[in-house]
Amino acid sequence: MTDLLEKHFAPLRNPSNDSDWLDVRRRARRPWRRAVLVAVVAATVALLVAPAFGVGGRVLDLIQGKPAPPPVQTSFVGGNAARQQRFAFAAAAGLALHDRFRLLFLARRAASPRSRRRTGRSISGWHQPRTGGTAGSSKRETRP
Amino acid sequence: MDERARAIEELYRERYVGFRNALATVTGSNETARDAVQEGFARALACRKQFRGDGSLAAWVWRIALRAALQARGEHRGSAAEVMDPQLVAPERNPALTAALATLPPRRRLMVFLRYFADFSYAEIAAACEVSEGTVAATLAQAHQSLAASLSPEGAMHD
Repeated sequence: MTDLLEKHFAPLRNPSNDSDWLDVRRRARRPWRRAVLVAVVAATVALLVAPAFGVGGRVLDLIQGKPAPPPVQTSFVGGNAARQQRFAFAAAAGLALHDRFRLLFLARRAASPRSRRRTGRSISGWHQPRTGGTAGSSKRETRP
Repeated sequence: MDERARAIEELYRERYVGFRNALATVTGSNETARDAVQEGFARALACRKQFRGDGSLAAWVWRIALRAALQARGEHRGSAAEVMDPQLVAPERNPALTAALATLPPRRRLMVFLRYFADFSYAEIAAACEVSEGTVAATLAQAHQSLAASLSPEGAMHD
């Protein structure tokens, strides 16, 4: 019976082999591309809707904000010096620190002075991006 | 490439033609069946860590490829038994077999397709259909009997 079925099924089978394993591997990598696309779309949407929630100005301040006042800059420069000193000490002791070169740039305004509280105090913040990709921050209250 | 990826590649190289021919009875053409096989193996490769390793790899990939074929048909639900149609693959080449297959109950027809198109073993058919091997053997025996009655001139079994 098996032979009989084999005989009948044989003409229905397409013997051509058009397989392409490289195509399979290419398709298998697509979910990563999809994830990247979703992340890009999400970031774009976040940027577009940020102004609607009053966040847009603060985001722009990170890029376009005026340099922080001299006292804040002095504070950051002091922090940099202390950091450099610690790293130099660690390097002299033979310690490898991956974030050795995370120095501070000039601080820029991050928080808007519009964040005025009922008390009349104004809080301003400064964001300090570092060369290693991390960031620090500082806040300062100002009385009216 | 890890061991599981190599196993999937080996399966693909050995069984591609069978998978494509079997899925052609779902999609209706070799071209769309090819695409479903490619997509099925790609998905299997991408999520190979989900395969627990205690069952048949061929059956696991088959289920994924079948879902891809159903999606190609615009269906997201359905069982293989209901969607595999002998009329979809060159019925003019063997009208007698096409007619005989059409008379089989869907589950028997599915097992015949998996056996003679996809070249599945009884164990792989059992895993793909989530039944025991004994059930596969019994179902195929019944299918053979029905087909023999329709196909052989004297209507007798030749087991």
